[in-house]
Amino acid sequence: MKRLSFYLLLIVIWEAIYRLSLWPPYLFPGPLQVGSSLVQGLADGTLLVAVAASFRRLAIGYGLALAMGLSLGLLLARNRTADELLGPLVSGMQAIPSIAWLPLTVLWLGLSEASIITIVFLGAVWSIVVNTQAGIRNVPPLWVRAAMTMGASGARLFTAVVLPAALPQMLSGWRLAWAFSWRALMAGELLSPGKGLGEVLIVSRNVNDMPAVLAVIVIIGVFGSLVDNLLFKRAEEQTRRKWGLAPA
Amino acid sequence: MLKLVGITKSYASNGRTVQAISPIDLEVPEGQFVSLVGPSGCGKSTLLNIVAGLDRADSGTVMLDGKPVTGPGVDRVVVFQEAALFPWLTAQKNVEFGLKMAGLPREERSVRARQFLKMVHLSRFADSYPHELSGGMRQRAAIARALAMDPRVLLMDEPFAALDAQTRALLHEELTAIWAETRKTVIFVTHNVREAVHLSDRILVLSARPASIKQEFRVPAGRPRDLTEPGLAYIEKQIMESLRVEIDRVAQAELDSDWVHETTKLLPPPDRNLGSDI
Repeated sequence: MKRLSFYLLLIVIWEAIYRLSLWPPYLFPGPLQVGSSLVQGLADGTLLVAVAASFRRLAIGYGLALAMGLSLGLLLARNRTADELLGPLVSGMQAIPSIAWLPLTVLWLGLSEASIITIVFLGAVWSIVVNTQAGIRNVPPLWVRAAMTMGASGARLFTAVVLPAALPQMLSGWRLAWAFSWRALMAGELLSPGKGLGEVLIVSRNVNDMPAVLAVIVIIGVFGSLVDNLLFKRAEEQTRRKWGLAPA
Repeated sequence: MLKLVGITKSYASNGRTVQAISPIDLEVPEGQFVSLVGPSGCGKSTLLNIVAGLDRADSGTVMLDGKPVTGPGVDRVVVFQEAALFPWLTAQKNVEFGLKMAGLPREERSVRARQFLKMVHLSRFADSYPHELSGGMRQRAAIARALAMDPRVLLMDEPFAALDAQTRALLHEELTAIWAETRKTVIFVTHNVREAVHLSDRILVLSARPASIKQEFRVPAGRPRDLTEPGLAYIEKQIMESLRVEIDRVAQAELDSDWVHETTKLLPPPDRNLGSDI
């Protein structure tokens, strides 16, 4: 209740500033205009199409990153030589914002879906690798030893003990990867043609439709935090609680 | 019968080779409760891990029922100092873990797990996760988990060391009762002499590093035991004396060179001043 009235107050202040007409409406639209633009965009489907297009890219890029990141993380956790050779490279790659690869991917793949999906993939994959590796590395040896004395070995030891033990940290990595890839997707879409949210944003700007620009930003914020809160944060917290890592 | 023949172990530390275990020979007949006591860091846990198959001896063999031990196996289950329960499984599922690995059908697993949780009086907490259990309850669950495997030998590595004194006393009685019921061969590592006397048929005092069997004691008393009984108190005192020499050796190696163990020093009570203030 307190929170709700606070945000209502913010909107009222926004409207008040708009009414003062300090800036022309095409630079500073009011909340009502943004709201109606949002409603209209949702009603005629342009925003929903954009959300679907963005999420499709995200799903493919993130899915590939998950598959690749888990395999590579596993390899690095298990194989010392691989870790010595590739470890520094992975942490170096992690430091590069994936949008920096766009000039290259555009040259190689053109201004296409593949190019954006590659950016999303590059945004997500490194933190998945790093956290998978760390998660597996940090599994308490005691659990592994206990499982071994109870007859677990090889692949069963891995699936029954190592993976669940590493899960909390792996989930943190997935959540981080989601945040990176969401940002990478928006940056990539701003710079390329298509139907995604970023593209609707840039088109709206080009036709000087400021309310639509803000409406898209609202959608980006809402969907970004919805996925983070409802999916990743919840999964992470539930796991941590069940594992006894967080106060119940 | 569990048989250790000429077990030795050394490890590298800062480029030097440290002898952890000098040849140890030991025979443990079926159903005997044996304790290993020794100064901390003497290698008693290492010895237990070798029997478990988790560590490899440099030389010598461990034989169980005439067959050499080559790695970890379900015939020798370990109860560790920390319960080592899997936090993502309930107590029930933890007890079922080894049975699942052995390929028992679901129904049978569940019945068996419940039976052993009942034995350690944790039936009510079958569906609790380890972090919802107290330290003593966790150790009970770990014991149930080990017993459910029906091992030939139960290996216990200071299982009660991290518990408070009251919980420990309770679990001593409990373990005695369980042992009487199941008649397992138990190897019990501890640095608590009193605990060893309370529980064991036979107590081996290990020397300071490199570990070897220094002296052997039998505890020819029935159970449950009352440690205030003169016979038991006498055994305890003898073991303490035997162990003290080893503890002093460790302390002498670790502390300043002028350190000596003073047993005769009289510490006057602070409220008696024998009239010195007159």
